Amino acid sequence: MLGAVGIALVMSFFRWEGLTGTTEFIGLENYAHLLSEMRFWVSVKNTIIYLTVYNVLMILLAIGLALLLNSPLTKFRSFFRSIIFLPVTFSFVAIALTFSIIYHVDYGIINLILKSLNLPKVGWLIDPNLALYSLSFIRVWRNTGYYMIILIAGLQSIPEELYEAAKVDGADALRRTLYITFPLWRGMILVALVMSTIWSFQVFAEPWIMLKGGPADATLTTAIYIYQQAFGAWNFGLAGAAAVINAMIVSVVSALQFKFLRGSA
Amino acid sequence: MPKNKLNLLGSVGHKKFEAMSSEEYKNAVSRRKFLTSIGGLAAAAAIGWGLAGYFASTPRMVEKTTTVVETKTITQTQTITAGTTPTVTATASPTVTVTTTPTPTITTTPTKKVTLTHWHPAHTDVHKVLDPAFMQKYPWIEVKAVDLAIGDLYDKLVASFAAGSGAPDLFACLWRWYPTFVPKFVIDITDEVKDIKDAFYPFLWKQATHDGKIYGLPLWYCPHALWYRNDVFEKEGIDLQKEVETWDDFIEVGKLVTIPDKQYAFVICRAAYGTNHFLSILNSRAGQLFDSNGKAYRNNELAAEVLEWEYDLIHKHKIASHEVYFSSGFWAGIKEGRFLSWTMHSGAGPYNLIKSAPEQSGLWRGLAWPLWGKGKPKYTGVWGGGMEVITVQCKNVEEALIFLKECFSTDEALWNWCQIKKFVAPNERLLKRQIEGPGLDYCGGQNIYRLFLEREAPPLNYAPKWSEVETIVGKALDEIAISARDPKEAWKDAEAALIKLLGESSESPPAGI
Repeated sequence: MLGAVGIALVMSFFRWEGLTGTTEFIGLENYAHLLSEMRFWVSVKNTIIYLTVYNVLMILLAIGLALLLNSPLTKFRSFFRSIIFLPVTFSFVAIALTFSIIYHVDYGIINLILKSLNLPKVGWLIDPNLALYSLSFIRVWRNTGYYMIILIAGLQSIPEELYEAAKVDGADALRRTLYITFPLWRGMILVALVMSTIWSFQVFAEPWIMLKGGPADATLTTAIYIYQQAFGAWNFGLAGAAAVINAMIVSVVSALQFKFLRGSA
Repeated sequence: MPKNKLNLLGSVGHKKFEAMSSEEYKNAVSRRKFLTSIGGLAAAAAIGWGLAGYFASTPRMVEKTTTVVETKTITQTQTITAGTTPTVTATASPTVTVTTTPTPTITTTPTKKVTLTHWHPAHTDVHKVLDPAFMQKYPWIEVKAVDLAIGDLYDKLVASFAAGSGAPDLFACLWRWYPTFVPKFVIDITDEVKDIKDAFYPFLWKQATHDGKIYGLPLWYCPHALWYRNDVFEKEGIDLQKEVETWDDFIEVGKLVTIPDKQYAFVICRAAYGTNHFLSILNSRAGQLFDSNGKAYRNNELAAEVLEWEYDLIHKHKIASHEVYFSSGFWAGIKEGRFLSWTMHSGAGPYNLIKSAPEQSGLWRGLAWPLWGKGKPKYTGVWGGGMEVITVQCKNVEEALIFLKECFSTDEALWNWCQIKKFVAPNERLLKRQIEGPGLDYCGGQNIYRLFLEREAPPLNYAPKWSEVETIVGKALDEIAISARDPKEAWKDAEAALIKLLGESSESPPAGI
């Protein structure tokens, strides 16, 4: 793994035309180029919007579902956990192809339902202002079950004695949740959030398969940008530099998450 | 228990070891000795097997078929009179030349099997016919054909050539990939194809030539026609064959059949794949995006005009919708009758309609590419074409050449391509067979190949880094189709990006027609 990272770093200091094989050491020129490359920053902006929307929705949903499906008041907990976890087992490619049909502006089931309710149809994937959010929702649907399971494991690791002691002291369910569950659960939520953030920086499958980063770069992510630079423009050096900058952004965001969530504990 | 000794006698080992005398223990087989012996025996067996195979192979049987070639000079004229079915009159002044290639020495068949890998984009139904017959004829050559989507095929080829390994022995090289892969990554077959020069038209051989050398067999040629739902137009009392000569004529009749949000006279291809559709339109106006060196033109007004024309069809005349051709949305639109016409070559138009919308058999017709004005040259556009090539990573070039010539140059093989894939024939003999043959049932018995007789496709230049070219032009198409962005502004940005990617041409762009 370190070897691959090292190669990308070394590559980033060269102008390397992949297919012609010519390489030339150019120092930080690739980085300077990226600083002024509008399309790269569009991809960074899209990625950050995507992962923000996805992670916020996903973690809130996972927390809610974890609390619900860990509560002894809920019936058939195992069944619901399995159902909610099921999309995690589906391949991204199959999901992307299926949702491209579901979201279709004329033939997708969502717009057919809207049409039956006399509501205007929505360009889920063809409206550049909506496409990114439509893709975020797909990942929320797919991955919530995974993080729900992680959070349930975290819930179940909280000692029961604390709740019993709180009950003895007269704390109601809400106070027990706020003052026992969440403080002790925070670490697990942080782990889930950091993992999810790092992985969502790598988002490639859905925007590539469904839209190739379009329409008009509306769903262009950093992973797609790197791929296009490497295999479309044969600019392996620039792709390496973009990968290094992407990795630095991931590190900064992860560090901020740790600081924010741990610091306020 | 001694850990470095094996007890070959079974599970009561340690007791046995304890019961042994020191002399017996010394003689017991150590684990190291045992494994070394087994390994040595296995290696010896492998070497022996290899040597036996090598010395047992008998010399190769090389078969060259005896071919008789008849060359006839045929002048074809097509008369199209309004209201009549086109007739083709062939006035032949035949000069028959018989060429016989000598049968060389036949030796025996090798026992060593050779495997060729072949990558192609969705040609499985032809290879299902050709490959087994080939392997039966040449039993020591196994062909592994891999069907890949066009975009994936290009990306995988780029990756494998950049990496220096992993490329197939042969692949179908589309014209638009030519500047990317030729000549660095495919082999020169000039000397090997001297005896099959009449397999393809001279202009197709020219397409496969770089610096005077031939790099592939150019069997696919993809001139465009307009495919339309005749039943819908007929219902409105419109006969396209009689009423449409120019694109302006088409726009007028298109307004009569278009119902907003329900039914569109035409569908434009957008997104990255739409780049090739856009180019076919530009080509039909004798325009170019790139010069012959693959550099992008600046101030390409004709290209901006073509983009504006597509914009007008959607937003001004409102007779066109937009979709990515061959996507699920596209086929849903075709099957639902939402899209009433599109432009495509015969190898992807009728061929794909037959496969994906068989229930519409008899409803479709083809129209020769409308002219860009009365009296304008009779041009059509191409979605390029393609050729079969052998890669520099091929380790069995001789066998690859046999496969190449057998499956991609004989009239029998080419006729399979034409019949199954509905491609326009790449030589005169087969085109004559197509033109004189029966019509296509799917198109109401129309002989679709006659559509291409009165149209000529101007030459079209391509550029390297094609997938990035598609991304750039595709973005402009999305902007004008979906966001209704001003086409001149959209083209200005696309042109700047193309120049940044490929470099600027020192020539002026052609003015076109």
